[in-house]
Amino acid sequence: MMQQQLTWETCRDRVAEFLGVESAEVARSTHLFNELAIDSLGIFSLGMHLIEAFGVKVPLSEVSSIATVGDLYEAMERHREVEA
Amino acid sequence: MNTAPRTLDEHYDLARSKLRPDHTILMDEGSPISFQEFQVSVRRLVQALREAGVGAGRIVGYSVHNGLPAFTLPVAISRLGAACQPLYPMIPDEVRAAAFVQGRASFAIVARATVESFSAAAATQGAAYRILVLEDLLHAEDAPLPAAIASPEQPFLLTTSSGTTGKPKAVFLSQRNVASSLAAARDLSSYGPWSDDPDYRAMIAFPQSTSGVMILLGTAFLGVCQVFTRSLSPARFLEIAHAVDADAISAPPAWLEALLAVPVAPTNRAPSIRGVAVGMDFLSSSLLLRLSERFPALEGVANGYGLVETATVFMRWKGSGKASFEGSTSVLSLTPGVGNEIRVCDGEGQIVSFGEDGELRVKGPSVVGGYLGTSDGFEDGWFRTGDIVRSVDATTVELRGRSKYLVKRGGKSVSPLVVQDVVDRAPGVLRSAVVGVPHPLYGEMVWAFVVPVPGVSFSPGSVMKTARAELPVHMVPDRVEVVDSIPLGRGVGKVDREALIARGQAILQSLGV
Repeated sequence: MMQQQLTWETCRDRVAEFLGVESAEVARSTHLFNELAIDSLGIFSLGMHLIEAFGVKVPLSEVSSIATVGDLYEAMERHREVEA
Repeated sequence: MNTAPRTLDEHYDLARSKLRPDHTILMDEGSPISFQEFQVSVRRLVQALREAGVGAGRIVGYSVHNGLPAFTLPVAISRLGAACQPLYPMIPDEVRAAAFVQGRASFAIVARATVESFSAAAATQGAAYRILVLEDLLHAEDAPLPAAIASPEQPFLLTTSSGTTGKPKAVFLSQRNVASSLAAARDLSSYGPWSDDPDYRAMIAFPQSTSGVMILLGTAFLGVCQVFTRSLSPARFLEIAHAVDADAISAPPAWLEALLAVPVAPTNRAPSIRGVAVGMDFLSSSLLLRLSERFPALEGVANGYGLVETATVFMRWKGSGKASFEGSTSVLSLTPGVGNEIRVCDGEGQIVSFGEDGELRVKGPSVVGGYLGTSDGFEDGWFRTGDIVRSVDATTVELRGRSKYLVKRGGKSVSPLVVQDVVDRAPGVLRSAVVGVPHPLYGEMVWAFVVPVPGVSFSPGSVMKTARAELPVHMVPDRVEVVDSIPLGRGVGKVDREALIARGQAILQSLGV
């Protein structure tokens, strides 16, 4: 599958696509558990979708500190730099 | 006094007392077979088998193609007080030869065209049974039918079940089991006053399956003309249904999907179809709505539920009118008039309250005495179905899923049926299948494999939106995978879950997660 360039906008759109919500409903501060009603395993399911889209993996050890969509994006940004 | 037939012979004798000889009981590829012809076939077979030495306590294996003898053979074998072991003729010779040995058959009936290869296979198995040629039996002299001798508790039909564990097990259905199944088949094919019409005709998709024979004989003895095809072509099936003005169809859901995939033509519209009897697999409202578009006269649907261990159907859902097709088809009621009873039990075997979930258990005339060689799964005559249901009342349950198919996600059980029911209703979904794909972190992930409606723009997000709106968080699919088709297993075409799970595992591996 063709991978996308990771930007906040493309990340936001992919998160929205995975959850079946409008992109406008997803902000950096949007809480994954409280506002998007994802459970802890759902974060990994979302992560899998993002790995496919951007080719960037976030280690399991860091996932527990992710609470918002912004946290998720920033973790992916960090690991994109590591992988690059 | 309860006069319900307790043996196949009693069902047959009842039919003989009620049906006219010129009544069309079956149609083979559209060619009518009268009840007179049916009776002559039974009598000739009884005569030939008796001369060959078939009698009480003997087991007769047979494998014959679709056609009148496939349905008169069990009736004839029953009349002699013997038991039968039917096997599909498409099963390889060596496998059939060995199965008849394992079944302790004294006789094996095969068609002349295959007798040479089958005999060679039987010889390599050291088979002691006598091989009889079907065509020879059919030309025996027509002699009066002897009186029935089989008792209700006598073993009659040897078959195999996938069992609640998925491991094949041999099962003997008694005469009473079979008689109950015929009665349940009648209930399933009864949609209302119109289906009592003497000219009512029903098409049956898999007449030679164990449930197919029961449905065919159960309804044919009631006076319903059962129509079958020799080929396994959905297009041919529809052409015959059209040509004979079929009123109803009996088929598994996967076969109905195959019918819907056949392009509509003036010669296959089958506009007279008003009833559909389904069984063997989950029935979605999406399929029902598409069927009602394809067959505008469709008004009655019956979804049969049962297992080999319960002589097939013992519970059913019935819908009448299009409004009922939009609801859940998983609320099942005990088939009336057969005499079975049900319980919903927790893990300790205690009966749960109405509204709670547990395992469905059943006891009664439909339930077999046990597997050959083991009593696992049976307690005091109660059979543990392995299916998880919600108890509604004493005779009604809501099916949640087979316990072996339940997805164990993060310590919680997810019913794939419940998820699939929701996924099927999402915009742009033609059909779907939901399975658990093993993953070390989850235990199992909930994967929805979706076939989109052709020509319509589809986004997996539409499924997630619907699922998130209607399901608890832990039941929302972890992944929506778009596929061209849902793979089907062999036999009557149930969803091939193993193939889907393997596909999911391959994707996980490619992603390195």
